[in-house]
Amino acid sequence: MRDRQTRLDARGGYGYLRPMHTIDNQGGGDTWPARVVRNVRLLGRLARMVYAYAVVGGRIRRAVRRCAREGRVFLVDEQLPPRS
Amino acid sequence: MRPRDPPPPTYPFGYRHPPRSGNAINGRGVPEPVRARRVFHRGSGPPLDWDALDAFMDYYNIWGVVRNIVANSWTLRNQDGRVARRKEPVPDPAAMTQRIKNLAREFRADLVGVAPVAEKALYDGVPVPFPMAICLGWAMDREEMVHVPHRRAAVEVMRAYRKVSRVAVRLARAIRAMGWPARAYGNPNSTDILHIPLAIEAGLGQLGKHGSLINREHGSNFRLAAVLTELPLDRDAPVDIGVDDLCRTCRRCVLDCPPGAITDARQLVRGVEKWYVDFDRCVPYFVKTHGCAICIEVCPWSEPGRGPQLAHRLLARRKAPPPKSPPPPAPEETGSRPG
Repeated sequence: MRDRQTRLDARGGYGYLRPMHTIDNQGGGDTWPARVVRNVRLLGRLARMVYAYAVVGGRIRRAVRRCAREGRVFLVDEQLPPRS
Repeated sequence: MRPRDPPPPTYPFGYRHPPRSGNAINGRGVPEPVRARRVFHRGSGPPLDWDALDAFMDYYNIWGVVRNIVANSWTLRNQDGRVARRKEPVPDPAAMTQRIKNLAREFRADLVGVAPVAEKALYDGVPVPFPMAICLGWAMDREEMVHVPHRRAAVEVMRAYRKVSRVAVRLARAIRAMGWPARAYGNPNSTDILHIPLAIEAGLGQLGKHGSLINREHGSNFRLAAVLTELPLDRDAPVDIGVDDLCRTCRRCVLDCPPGAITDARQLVRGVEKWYVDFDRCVPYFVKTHGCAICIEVCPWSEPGRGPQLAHRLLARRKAPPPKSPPPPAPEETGSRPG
């Protein structure tokens, strides 16, 4: 468990891409090229977010439903994929 | 309203090694007035104790919620920006405050108030970025919210966050065009500022027993965002609409909370005695139901049109002289006999 926690800490925690709550500070973008770069980066992050939700999230949601059917518990601290 | 068949507080997910209690991290029982620490939503900082459940919620959410989170993030790309070179002088902060409030209402904010940014409204380690905060509220569609804890309500909550974010971004942009720095904070999972303490200071409402803000007109049926700025503004005063008087005796949210996270007594949290919701009980149910919100919708203040009447009655009762105590009963009436 300790090793797993160390590995997770080093990688930045749980979640495959884990972008959902990380858009607090997107940078200013004072000039138009800076704004374009910022917008492209953000679009990339949002696309990855949607991809992760659809693909990894789909797997997780199916696993949770399976656990619920079988009367087991999906362990969020063990069965969630770490950030790649 | 009463929630229709809320799911039971049993969970198909859990921890093998439960993290440290969120109540301890939140400072329940701590007598010193210390600043709040992050417990659930971590932003881009180091992982928190409850990180796994937070990450799980990202994937367990319904698409309608995720879609609105994505749209909100896109809206907030302009939370910062270029400040105009020419700074507009502000000889009369009161007039400027009125102008900003009118502008916010033009952008369709339902609530607007101004407060100074105190350290207690920021998470531990976050420096005060700007001295003044303009707090904004967006009323949610009650027709959708009566379905709590259904996914329709969850989508409506995130839609309200997206709308109020848009107001904050437009307002911040207008202030920057005046030559004053300003930044919009519209992320519901923001890990910089605490919206509720700011909004209380800005006079938008009072803290209710369910741990949410209660406004005179909208009850708890609204969502918050803020613009932090250097623009000199006149602050609003906190309001007293009688929330404490009602919450002391009302038990609606306590009875209707499926995991039993709401208690009848105020608790000592980071040096202040206040209403507090049990984090460890609330959050798993919150995750399971994609945002729950039962407590804020069953609250009597949230019923459309009822808030002003309640406030009027509660404050009038407080002003009324106490009822005269009845004269002590005669000895014959009590059946007692002098010895």
